[in-house]
Amino acid sequence: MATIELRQVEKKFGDLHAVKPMDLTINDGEFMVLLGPSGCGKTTTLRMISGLEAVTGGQILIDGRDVTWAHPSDRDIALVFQFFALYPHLSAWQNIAFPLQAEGESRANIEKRVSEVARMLGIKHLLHLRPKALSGGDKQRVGLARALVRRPAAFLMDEPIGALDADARETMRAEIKQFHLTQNATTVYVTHDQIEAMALGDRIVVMSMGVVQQVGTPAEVYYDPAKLFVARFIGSPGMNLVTGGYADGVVHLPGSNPYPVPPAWNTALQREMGSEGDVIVGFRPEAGRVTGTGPLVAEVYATELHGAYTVLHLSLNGTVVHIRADRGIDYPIGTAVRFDLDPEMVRFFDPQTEAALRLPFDGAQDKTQDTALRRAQDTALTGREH
Amino acid sequence: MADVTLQNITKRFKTVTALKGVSFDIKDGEFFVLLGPTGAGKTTTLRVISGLERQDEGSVLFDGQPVDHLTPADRDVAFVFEQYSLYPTMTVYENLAFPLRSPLRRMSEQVIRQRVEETAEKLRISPLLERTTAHLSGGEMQRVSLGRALVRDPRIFLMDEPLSNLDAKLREALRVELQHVQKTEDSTTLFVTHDQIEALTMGDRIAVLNKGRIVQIGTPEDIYDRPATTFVAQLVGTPRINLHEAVREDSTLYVTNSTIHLPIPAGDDLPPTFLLGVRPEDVQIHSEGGFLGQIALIEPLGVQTILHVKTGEQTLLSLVPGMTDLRVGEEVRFNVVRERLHYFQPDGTRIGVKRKV
Repeated sequence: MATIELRQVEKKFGDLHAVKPMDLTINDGEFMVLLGPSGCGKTTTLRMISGLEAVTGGQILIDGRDVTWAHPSDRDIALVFQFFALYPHLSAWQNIAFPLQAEGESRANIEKRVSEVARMLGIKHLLHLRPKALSGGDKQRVGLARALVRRPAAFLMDEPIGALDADARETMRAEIKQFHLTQNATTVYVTHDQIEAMALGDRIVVMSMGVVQQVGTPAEVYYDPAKLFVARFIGSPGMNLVTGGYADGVVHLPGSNPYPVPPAWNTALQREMGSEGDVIVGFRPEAGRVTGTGPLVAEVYATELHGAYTVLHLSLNGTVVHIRADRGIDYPIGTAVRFDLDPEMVRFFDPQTEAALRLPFDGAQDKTQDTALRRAQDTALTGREH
Repeated sequence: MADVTLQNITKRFKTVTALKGVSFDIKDGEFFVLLGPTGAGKTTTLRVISGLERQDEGSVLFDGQPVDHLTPADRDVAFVFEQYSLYPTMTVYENLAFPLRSPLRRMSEQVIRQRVEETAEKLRISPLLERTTAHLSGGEMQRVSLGRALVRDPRIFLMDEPLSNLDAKLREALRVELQHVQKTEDSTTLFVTHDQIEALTMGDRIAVLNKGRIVQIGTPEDIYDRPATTFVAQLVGTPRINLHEAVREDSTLYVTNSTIHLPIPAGDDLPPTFLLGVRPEDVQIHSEGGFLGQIALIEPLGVQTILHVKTGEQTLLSLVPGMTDLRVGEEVRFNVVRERLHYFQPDGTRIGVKRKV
């Protein structure tokens, strides 16, 4: 297995700076997700790692070896693309065996490895069938099996399940994760779907316009987004971001709503912005709580049943925020609702730099350490090495 | 605005019967969603209402009057499609004004301006009015398309997957806008989608369609809490409902190949074999839970986490709030919420359980 290191890697297409110089270390056995909207540079980054795209600058190392200019076939990596193009005239078995035959493996060895990977993915009974006799999900499994059978040092996956319908995507997502748990293969996975990124990644690289916005665990990018972009992009709906004027420990939010800053944050705000100035208050929908004594008042703009819970959309004088509410209570449009924010889950951003303000010795930092600890425990438990 | 009734609509295309005896009633001012997978007959239903397609049997009524003999133009319906069909060389203003300039309407420019500006305000596109549509983003274009339908005050809005082409964030934002505008205007709307979240979040009522037939009609709560068939149960809710074979022995139910067994509540009349459905949020991890399982997989989604819990040979999905401290391989105890179990016949139809709610 492999460690992948990017040092100041960048890519220009003529005038377009598709990927600005980026540093990234992907640990041995890690599942790293490159996440961002189309055009953010995630696929270009993956293609540079694979060697399908030449870098404009910087170095790529796999297990310490400089492969920046190595041919794709000399990098010992397997690429899994969105459309697993299977050979229609070959059976599933032949499709899976193909890469091994191309490498001149012995017949016995091929039999053994195809059979292993087929068992793992639960497609053993389908091996004699041709692709057109397979369901969409089974085709994906055969495609995955063909990529996995080679046992490369690393897997590079480019939206492998993006073309599936929602149901099949959920199932395949779990299968990919299950496979990763058993194999511990270093994986770089590209997607624009933040749910997929959260569910799968050990860590996530959030990219926008060719620039890395944050590298972190799912918990870090969710609870402590480093930039406004990350705060908005992660979560469905994303983090609520409301601009207000800060003065004397209070942020004045739209709709004459004075929000008293939690004491722990007040020092940080004073340090960053002096006695007053504009600041963006950020909170996840589940941080909002409808309560008769809350300091904030807003008007119901819309309500949405999401199955197990309701999302309440509230208008603070035209600025709409989203909070989670229990089912079974009727909130007609236009009703005034009083609510509060969980002080542990409130974040602050600088409107100028779009960066998150941080507490020096705070809960956010503790959480990061907790996460690191949990990862270490994970490693111990599943025998994974990072 | 009007109320719209479909009576026993059947539609055949050569050898295929696309709609089989479809009947429903959209009330004046209602947001009515047609939900179903590709090929269920959703778009055909919408085209029959509009008059673009002629049914083989049955009748369409607006405000109690049959409209079967009327042309699409005479039915006075407004369409919003997945693909926005705007005039690229015209400004947003001209695009919105276009439907009002029909010679049939004879509206003064002053009235047109007022209507366009009001509509733009509602959809928050006022700053875009002087731009040509070629310079708009996808989300702005779809707002303008909605605006062009809204400006007209038709008898019913027919929307065919209008949000499907947008990225996830825009879809969320427009979902909320659309619902807000529809509710404040009380406009009668038929909204076609294959996306269960759109159906649950926006609909006053939902009709679930499968293979040309209506499977269930109800409020989002009805559909989610009391699905009429396993098809409906699996169609709504993410992650999917847990559905397992179960057997009844005396007054106990056993989920096949698992550790789960429960006393059957008095009065519940269950056949010897059936299917048990449990929504993932109703599988609750608890230190004193009655059943033993092992964590097979963890999918953190931020606001909640999906746990795959292996019990016997079965794997149940459990949805827990926030992030979790549990680890893969860990043994857990869990309960299922007994008041919210779903029972289905082996053929998939819901077993009516007598219970006080």
